[in-house]
Amino acid sequence: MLFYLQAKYIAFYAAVLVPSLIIQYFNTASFAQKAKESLILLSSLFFLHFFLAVSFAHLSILMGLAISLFFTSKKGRSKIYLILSLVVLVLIFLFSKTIKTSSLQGHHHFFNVLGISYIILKFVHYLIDSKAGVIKEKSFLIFINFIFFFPTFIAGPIFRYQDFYEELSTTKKKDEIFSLIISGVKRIIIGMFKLIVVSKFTAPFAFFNLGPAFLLHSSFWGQVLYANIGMLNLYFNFAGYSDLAIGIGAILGIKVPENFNYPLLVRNLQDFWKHWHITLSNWMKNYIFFPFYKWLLEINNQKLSLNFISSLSLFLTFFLMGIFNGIGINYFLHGLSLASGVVVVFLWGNFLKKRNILKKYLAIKPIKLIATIMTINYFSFCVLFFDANTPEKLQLLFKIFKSYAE
Amino acid sequence: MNQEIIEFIENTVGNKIENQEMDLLDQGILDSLEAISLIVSLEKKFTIKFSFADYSKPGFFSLTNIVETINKGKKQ
Repeated sequence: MLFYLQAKYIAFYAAVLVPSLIIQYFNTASFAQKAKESLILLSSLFFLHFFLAVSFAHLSILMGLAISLFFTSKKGRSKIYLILSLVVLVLIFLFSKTIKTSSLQGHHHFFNVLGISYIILKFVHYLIDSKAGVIKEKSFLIFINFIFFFPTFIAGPIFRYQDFYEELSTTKKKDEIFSLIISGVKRIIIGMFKLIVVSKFTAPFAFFNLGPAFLLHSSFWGQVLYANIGMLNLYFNFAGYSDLAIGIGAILGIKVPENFNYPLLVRNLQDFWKHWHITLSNWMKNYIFFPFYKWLLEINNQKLSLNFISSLSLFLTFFLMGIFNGIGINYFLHGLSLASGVVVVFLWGNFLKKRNILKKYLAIKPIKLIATIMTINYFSFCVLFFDANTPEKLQLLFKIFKSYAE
Repeated sequence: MNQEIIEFIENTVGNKIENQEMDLLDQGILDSLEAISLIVSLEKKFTIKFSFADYSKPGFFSLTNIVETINKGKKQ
């Protein structure tokens, strides 16, 4: 059964959402505001410890890290402080990913905290934006809530601190609270439908769930179909959890950012990332792509072509987006396939632009349809690597590829 | 000065921009690559330096915001 439907989770949500609604409704004094922030924080810590099995030791380490970052990050700090802090965060990230990968392979490690990737992304964002002076308003309680906010803890969407601060610190009018609650309930129902009906229905036909014997005897088109179903299963699962996060957030009076916007209707991989896992794409754009591309342009002195610099920056960004999920050959190949696809799309677009036919090309409807189908299929191909998270699955995938090469 | 900045941006983008409040990145007039190239070109042309705080702000890539940031940078 979907874990959100278990009695203990329903009891937990009732225990959090009902008092939160009462506080929001009578939220006229600053005391009520602090009560709401404290209630959400306690709920998040309770959720992490009892439902996600994050031990007290891990919670203490993460809390210590959060406290030190909050009190030391400010505008005017030296660059060395920023670089050292980023190095420490990247090392924690890599360490946790190595452990997660080996845990998947059957080993159990002490240090394996669910949701650590998202915490690191939030820390990096807060650190850089504080140093740049983008973060003006600071509140310790809101910052800790921002890091541990339970609806978005495991799978995002990823908040910007500034937006989270705005959402949690602003007292909303009663009609706005009411419309947020209605939209929240709707989103929870939509999310549940995606998770219980669509995701459950597609799961048995998803590529790796069909087993090696079946897959090896399937036709090419059969394998393409199962790869597409696997991607759809991932999409509905991920989008379903995002809907739940947005819905629960809304009932708590917090507008959680959207993470998906009809990604299966886009015409190319570059566009795809503006519609799939939007908050991670924005994070990558702001903290990887923009600084790296700008730096390359500044140091270039016209030695390298603009096409090369752009391709390199896109490749790095999307490769990192792929390996964000873990350390292992499959994630490496996932990143490599995503990055190569995006670079090919970029070069193709440039090729058409130089010949002044891009606008005409984009306007042709049958080409748009073909491009959309190709994008979905190529992304399904990339997802195969993402899903091949055990040596057996990866071997099976290579065996299938080899059968086509022979 | 303001007119010079606007003309420079319009020449770079290759279009006349009617709405000065509109974010060129959000509206798809610029993509991420073109937006950063524009920043670097503006830095060279007007000998100023945009900070990360400037261009990471949501809605930064509107004519009004860019002009205001350049003017502020020139004064400092």
